[in-house]
Amino acid sequence: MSVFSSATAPMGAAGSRAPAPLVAVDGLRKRFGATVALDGVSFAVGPGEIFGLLGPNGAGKSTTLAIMAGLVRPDAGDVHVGGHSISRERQQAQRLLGVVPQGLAIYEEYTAWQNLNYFAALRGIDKPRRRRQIGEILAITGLTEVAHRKVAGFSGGMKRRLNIGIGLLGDPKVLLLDEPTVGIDPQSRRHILDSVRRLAQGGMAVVYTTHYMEEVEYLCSRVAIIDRGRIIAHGPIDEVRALAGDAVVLRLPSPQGFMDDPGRLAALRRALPLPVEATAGELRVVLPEGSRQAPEVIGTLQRHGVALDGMRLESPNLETVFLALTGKALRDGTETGKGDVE
Amino acid sequence: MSAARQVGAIAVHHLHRVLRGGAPVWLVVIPLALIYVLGVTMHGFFAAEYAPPEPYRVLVAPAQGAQDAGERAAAVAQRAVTIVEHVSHAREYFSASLAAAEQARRAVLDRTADVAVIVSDEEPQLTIVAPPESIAAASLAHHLRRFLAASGSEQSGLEQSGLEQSGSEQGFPPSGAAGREIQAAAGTAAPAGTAAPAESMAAGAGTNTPWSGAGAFEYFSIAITVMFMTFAAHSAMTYSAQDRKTGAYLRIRSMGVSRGTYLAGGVVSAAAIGTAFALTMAVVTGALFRVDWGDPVAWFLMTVTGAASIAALSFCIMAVLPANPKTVESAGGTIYTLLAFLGGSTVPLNIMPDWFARLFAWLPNRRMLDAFLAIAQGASVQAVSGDLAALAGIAAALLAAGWAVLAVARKEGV
Ligand SMILES: Nc1ncnc2c1ncn2[C@@H]1O[C@H](COP(=O)(O)OP(=O)(O)OP(=O)(O)O)[C@@H](O)[C@H]1O
Ligand SMILES: [Mg+2]
Repeated sequence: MSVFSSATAPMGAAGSRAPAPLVAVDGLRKRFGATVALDGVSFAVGPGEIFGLLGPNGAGKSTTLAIMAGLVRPDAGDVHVGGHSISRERQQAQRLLGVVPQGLAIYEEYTAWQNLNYFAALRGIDKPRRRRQIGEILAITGLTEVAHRKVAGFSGGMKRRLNIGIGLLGDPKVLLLDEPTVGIDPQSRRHILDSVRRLAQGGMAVVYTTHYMEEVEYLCSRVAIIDRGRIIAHGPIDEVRALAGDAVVLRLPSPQGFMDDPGRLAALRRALPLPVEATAGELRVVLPEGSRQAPEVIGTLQRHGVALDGMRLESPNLETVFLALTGKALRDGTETGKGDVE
Repeated sequence: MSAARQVGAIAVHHLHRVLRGGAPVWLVVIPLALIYVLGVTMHGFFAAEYAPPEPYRVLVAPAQGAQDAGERAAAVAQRAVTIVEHVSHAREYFSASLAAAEQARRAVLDRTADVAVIVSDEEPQLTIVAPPESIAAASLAHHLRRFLAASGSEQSGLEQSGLEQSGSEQGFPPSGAAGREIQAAAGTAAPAGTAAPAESMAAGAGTNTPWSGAGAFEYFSIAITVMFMTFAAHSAMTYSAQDRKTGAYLRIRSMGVSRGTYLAGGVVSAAAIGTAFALTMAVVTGALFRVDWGDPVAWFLMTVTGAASIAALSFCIMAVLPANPKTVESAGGTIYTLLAFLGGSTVPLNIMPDWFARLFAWLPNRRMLDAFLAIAQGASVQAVSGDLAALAGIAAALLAAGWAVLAVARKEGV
């Protein structure tokens, strides 16, 4: 099915065998002072493919994209876009790239149209082509009707869509999306995911970073799970999912009086020699050998006074993989379920 | 896209943001109000504004030799008449009339006139006859010099006229500084320096200074304009800092805009907004307060060069600070308010001690103030070429320094 295995090793060699990937990332390393942001990151993305880069906060997703976009110089490794090295032929490589930063890099005091027009001018798109392209992008992002309204009055979702739209200027062959759905309503999110899908169907190579595994499962054909600057799993979604093996996750929503008592949590962790994650009001325990470990775990939980209401076992998914491989959750408790905030 | 067009697009964008940010109000109304208040309240501190309780009596006379018949004599007499008319009309505190030269001299000695102006035909020049330390003479000298500068191009007869005051003219006992000769060629170099001794008597401050001959409204129109030019330029630069914060800068860079191109756009926009503001102020203060900014070419060159030096300074301020628009904005506000004070924009230099004026003469905004005052009083491009060169040098040095700071700070970036 794919030339990529689900190994955790860098894929440089395998990538070169693929039929001319549009983007090839090879052995990126980057330190910021004492922090190792990237520790050998490699992957390749072909035309029409949506590649997911899944990882928790601080994993190195944005750093990877910044290096790919030619904005940060790597300590080692290189990125090729359409055959052009980002370090040696930055201008040529950048011409093929559309970049959507994690932050809202838009001008609130301007209208959507003015924002698009300014960046189009900087991208060197001539006037007649600019009009047409801005019209298309407004349609793709569903902003045609509000094109001449000030961005300051937009909802979080509309701003996000404009942020993406600007990345589409200049007909890029490769689109780099850095957490494009953070903090928006489900409807806008759906709209964005579907637009990204359509863009890929048109032949664009998309690199999509997120810490929502549902988005990766919905969108991507291949995924790399990144943690602390290293790719810990990499390959087609199914294969990566299988990395969890028999593992299942036991989930306990809001066990009363337990979550806010660090002493009891610590005692439970000592008693259970398994990955235990307590975030967003939920307790999760990874059972690497599958459900047959459940009775023993449930017994331990009961002994520690954890109420078992609402308990369920979850079959393997990307989050399980992440939990199983790192022993921690993809998302911090503080990050989940927040509304329209940036 | 060519780098030049990118610079243009970025500069226009910054400018647009400044204008939309309410700049037309705070950049025009506030300085005008300041000029008005300072112009009215500081009136008494400016020699050129000093009004005597009674009008000075001025006698204008053709020189003795020109009394004979003939075309030249007629021309000299005509010139004398023109000057009389000018002096009588220009300021309410001069009352001028035409007399014979000898009669005029006598009248000053007898104290029936305060000043005599002798219009000679030889090497066309004016001689002011007055007792030494005469405030009337100082004030009149200033006034005539500007008149000569203004009419220099039209009236060739006066073009090379000098203006001379001799304290030791007949009959006046030579005092300590008696016999000081001052020469001011109309319409050419450094009017400020030349008539200064005369005016300094009235102003009671330092000599040879551009501000000693200015009126309160003229001084503050120029001084406040220079001060707000710095604010205007800095507001444009603040937007560069904002871009850095929001990620717009990285987005722009990811679109193939080089670092230098982006920075050039910011500096150009800062210089352009400074220039546009100065132009607005020149027009408005001309209309409202009758301030004459002098030779347009010299004014324009000084405006652009001055604005560039301020833009470069703002660039430096932005470069050394963290990429936070609030920090950059407030740091600029503090620095430029301090510079405005040291550079004579808020407290006029003629009431500050000499050492103060001398100590801060190198500041770019102070150089601009001096040069604009000189231009307003008739200086040509040539006369301010030193200031132009100095400001251009300051701009280049500051740009290089800011660039170096950013280069060191950006180890990580490309
Ligand atoms: N300019 C920088 N200076 C210093 N450290 C940095 C810089 N950029 C990133 N880092 C560090 O590098 C690591 C990776 O950061 P990065 O922003 O790439 O993570 P991320 O996966 O995008 O996280 P998030 O989901 O929070 O956006 C983090 O530890 C971060 O603190
Ligand atoms: Mg990030």
